[in-house]
Amino acid sequence: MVVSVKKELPFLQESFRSSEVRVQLGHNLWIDSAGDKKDIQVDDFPIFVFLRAVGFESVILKPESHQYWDVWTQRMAEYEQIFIQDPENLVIDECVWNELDSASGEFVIQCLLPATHTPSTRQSLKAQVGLPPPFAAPLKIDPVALQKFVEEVQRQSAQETLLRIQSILREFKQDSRRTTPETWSNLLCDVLTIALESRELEKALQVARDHQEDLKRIWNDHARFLRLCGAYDAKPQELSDWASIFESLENRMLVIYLQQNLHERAGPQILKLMHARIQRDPDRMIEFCLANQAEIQKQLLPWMTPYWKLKHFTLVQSEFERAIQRGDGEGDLKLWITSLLKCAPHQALQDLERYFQKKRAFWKRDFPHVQKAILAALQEAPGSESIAYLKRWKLNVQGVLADRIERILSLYSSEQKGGNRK
Amino acid sequence: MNAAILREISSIFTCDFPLFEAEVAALLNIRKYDEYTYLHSLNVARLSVGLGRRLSFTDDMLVDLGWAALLHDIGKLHIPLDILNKMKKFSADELAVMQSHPVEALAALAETQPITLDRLRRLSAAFEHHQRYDLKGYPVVQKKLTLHPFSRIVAVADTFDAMTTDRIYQRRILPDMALKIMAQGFGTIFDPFVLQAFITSMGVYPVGSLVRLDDERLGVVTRYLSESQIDRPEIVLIDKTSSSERFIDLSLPEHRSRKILRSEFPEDFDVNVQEILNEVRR
Repeated sequence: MVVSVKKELPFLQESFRSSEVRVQLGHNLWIDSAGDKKDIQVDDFPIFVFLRAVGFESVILKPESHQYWDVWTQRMAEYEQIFIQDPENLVIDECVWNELDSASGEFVIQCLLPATHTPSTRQSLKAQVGLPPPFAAPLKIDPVALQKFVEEVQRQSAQETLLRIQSILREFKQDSRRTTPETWSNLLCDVLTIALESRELEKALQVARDHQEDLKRIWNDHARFLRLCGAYDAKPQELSDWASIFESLENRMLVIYLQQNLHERAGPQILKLMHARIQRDPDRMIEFCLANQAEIQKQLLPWMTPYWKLKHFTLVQSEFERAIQRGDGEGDLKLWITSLLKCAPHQALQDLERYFQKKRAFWKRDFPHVQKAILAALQEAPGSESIAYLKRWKLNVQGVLADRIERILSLYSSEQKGGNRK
Repeated sequence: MNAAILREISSIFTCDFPLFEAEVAALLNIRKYDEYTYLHSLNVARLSVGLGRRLSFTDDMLVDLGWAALLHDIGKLHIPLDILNKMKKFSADELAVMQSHPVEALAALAETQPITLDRLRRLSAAFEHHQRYDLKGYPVVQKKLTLHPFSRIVAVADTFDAMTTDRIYQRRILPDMALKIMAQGFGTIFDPFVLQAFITSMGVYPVGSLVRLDDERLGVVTRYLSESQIDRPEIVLIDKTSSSERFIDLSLPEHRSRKILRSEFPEDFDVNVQEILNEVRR
């Protein structure tokens, strides 16, 4: 704290010595007890400038004031600091401007208002705000400093803006009286979105890591999720980091977004998110897929193909049979067959053979769409083993199915020949 | 959009209002909530943009600065009115509530949809205008960052307007006195460059100030010439009976010995400053 009036000043020396001194703030004068007037430059003494500014006309210093001088100036300097930093927080009428001598109870430093002063009597609550003064004087500043300042304004980056908001987020969560969990989560989501829109993935990851739990609330807000998800097109090497922002988004919700929002701007990113999630933890996703309803399974099955293993075979087989019982269409059945073939190709072909056996021909009318689905799945990835099966199955079917098997066989044969020639 | 608000904003800076619908709505909310805060915000914007113009800011920069200033107190929307308009000294708890308004700007931001990077940048001043240049103000943040240049401008304009505006419980400070007091915060509370630019381009005795000369005559500051010192403007004397001279340009060598003793409140002397300035300009 700067105490801005020095004790060695002549009017202070005079007052401390023997007599009362009156400093006339508005007239740049000090008057001794004999009535002699001397010039001072009030502007040189910040505390006196402050006292004059808040309305005091003069300050009387008694001889005893020297004992209280430091305490008084310290207090005035504190008032001044509060006033400069936040003028609205200093209620001038409630400040202690004078200093009392504790022994005599008399004022030793007394600040006097003009005789014409009337205490604040304004009753009207209507604000009296006039226009501020114009900037009409010559701007006297260093052109280099000006150039630097303008450049600083122009240089403000997204990263700096995000750092500012990040630094205040914590204070907001701790201090805000109006923060509801929703407001807080919405804010976090919006900040994340802006970070991603500004290509600041690292900043977004920091915010997400710090507040993953709080983000849970926003996943039900479709508009916010879609903006967040569509805000950044992650490169392949960033995919896993980017997807971690959505860590607390449940698989069920992701599938719903996948079903409903692929046509949105965020559509490609929703696909990427699904891809990243399956890549990161395929077993968990398979478990989720097999435990879910048909609608969700249909969405997930195309994604799961590369991850099926032998251990999933029995479960996939049950789901496939359930799909047949439900009367699912050829396309949906094909997804299950592809999955079976991926889990255990040999076992799957053996199992699927029953749909082409003659002895079960009495069921024939129920199977054409299953048979078509099997052929469609095999057509996509024919191999020597499946070709052998197809040749056998061809003997048991007629018409369209036989033609289709024939096409697969000849296609495979020509591909093989082509491959051999190469 | 509210026509009166748009007129007020247009008198400060020009912008494409449809792009700022959320900001206009936020300003309208401020006006509905507390008239003083609204009028204060307009003045802070006038001062900030005025200074920005003197600093040769581009139009885009002025628009961003203008909005930063207009919305610097948006957090006060979340301060109860009985505290916001309290005429007595704040209790410790009330002071804490009052001083939470920069942080509460975030709550107001959450209501201003959609939030964009530009909007966030324009609200930097709302978070930072009380942090002080030396970062010893409030809110206290763990990570200390240099204040955004707009926050540094708005902090100066905010303090100046708060000091020079009549409150329901206390009379305003005269502009020259406000500038002198603010100079105490040079480099600590305020950015020294911004404060210097503010004071020099306004002049120690801003145009329109009623001043008393050392011969006790009263005059109104009418203008500064391009080479004037910042405390030696041209003055039109009010008391025409005592002398034949009407204008005194304190920057001229023949008036070197004359000086301004102090400024006065025009209403204390029944002086209509605007009328005098209008007459001079005619």
